[in-house]
Amino acid sequence: MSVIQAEIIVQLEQWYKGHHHWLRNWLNHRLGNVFDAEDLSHDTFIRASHSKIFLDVKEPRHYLISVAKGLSIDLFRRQTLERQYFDALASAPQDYQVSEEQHALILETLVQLDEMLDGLGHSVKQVFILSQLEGLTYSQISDELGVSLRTVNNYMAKAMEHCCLFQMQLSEA
Amino acid sequence: MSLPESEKNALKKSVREAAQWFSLLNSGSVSQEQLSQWKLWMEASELNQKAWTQLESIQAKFGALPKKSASVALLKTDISRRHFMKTIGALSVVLPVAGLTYALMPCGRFEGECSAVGERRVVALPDGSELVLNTDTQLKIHFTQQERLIELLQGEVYLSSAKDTLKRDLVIETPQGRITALGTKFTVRTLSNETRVHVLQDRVLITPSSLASSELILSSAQMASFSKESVGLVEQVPRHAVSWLEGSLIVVDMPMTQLVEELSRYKQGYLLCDEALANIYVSGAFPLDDIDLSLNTLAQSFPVKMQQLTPYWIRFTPL
Repeated sequence: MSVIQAEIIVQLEQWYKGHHHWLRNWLNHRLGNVFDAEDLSHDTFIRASHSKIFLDVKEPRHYLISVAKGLSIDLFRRQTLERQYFDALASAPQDYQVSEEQHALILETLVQLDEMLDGLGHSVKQVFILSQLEGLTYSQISDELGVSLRTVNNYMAKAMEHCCLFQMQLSEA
Repeated sequence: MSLPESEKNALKKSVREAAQWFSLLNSGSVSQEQLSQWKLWMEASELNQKAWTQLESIQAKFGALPKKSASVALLKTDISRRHFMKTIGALSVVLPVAGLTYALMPCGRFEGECSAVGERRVVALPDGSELVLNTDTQLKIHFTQQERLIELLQGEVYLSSAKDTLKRDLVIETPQGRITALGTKFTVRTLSNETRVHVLQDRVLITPSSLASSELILSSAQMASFSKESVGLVEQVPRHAVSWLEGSLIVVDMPMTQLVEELSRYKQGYLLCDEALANIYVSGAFPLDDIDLSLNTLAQSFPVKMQQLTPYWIRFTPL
């Protein structure tokens, strides 16, 4: 273990002792029953300790709150996706007949894809999804969205490029 | 594993080219010559092959999804996310000195008072009146020289009014009209097209917004619902109508469908109940701070099946 790693662990323990209770109560009070405050608080400390600036932070509580805010946004995205997915299932009964495990796997994939597609503009995202999920031809997409075939081609390339780069960045980490 | 800059750029170039090939091959109008060129491109370098493998794995991810529902889910999130980002994005992370005044999510930038789903909050009004917010409630407080006005946008509140030194009217306004407190304790709840009032002590004056003439005074232990046009039948306040103030939902012979709908107000996500279960009548006390416990109790005590696809999607069906 390096010196830096040891310092991180010591600080994490100090922070946890000094602020875990406080953060959990704060989150509980502010988020109500929306998210599990205990889990969110715990995850916040872990995430904070992975940050490059962790050892340089002067105001722990300020920092913890901004990290918690980011995490709650992620959680919210996941929840929203879940809700939209089941909402959509209601009008696609054939998709509904799968096991609980499969639903869970599908959701995981959706969360990953959602994050991956996040940087794309809405139109680019639409073109990509219409092609990849709804199986529309470029000509059909062009008609549906009112854009030229050339634009559809460009958007498809742009979206796929973005997705590949995103995926590769992850594996480089 | 961190690549040197030159390798990163070469890889990015391969990815860009791969994406362009993908777009072409996917278009359905590819000539034999273009196909040959693509094959040559693939063989030209390992980086090209690496990029293509990435691309195929992404296609595979899409391929494994149920087409229609996934498509809708991924496209619809944009709207709700934009809304959420508006409320949370601009929020400055300033720690309050005493007390907890900033909401990470429920109120966000909303300039008023509100409660999250499942939360109950007490708000002390400037005149000493006490306001209790039930689950998922939003309101604005407008105390002026002329009146003490509470604009209830959605949800349910309990108001215990205090005497005002300036002798102003204390009014709760909903989309359907106004409820003026006449020295009293009462609750107001907004529903989709009507407002429901329970009077616990003394009296209130109900004034629907369209017709000023059909006003009604409700007295102690009376309840009524009103729309913009008129006030409905005056009935007795049921015995446990405000048990929510104490954190519990007490019901007597309530159809299960209605009970589940009531409980769903206090929990995030979907809580569904088959229509067929409307002929099961339930009596009991259900803790509002532990809805999951209440739901499990229902599942165990009655001939019903509780399907739980995720913590946020629960459905009751007949056995």
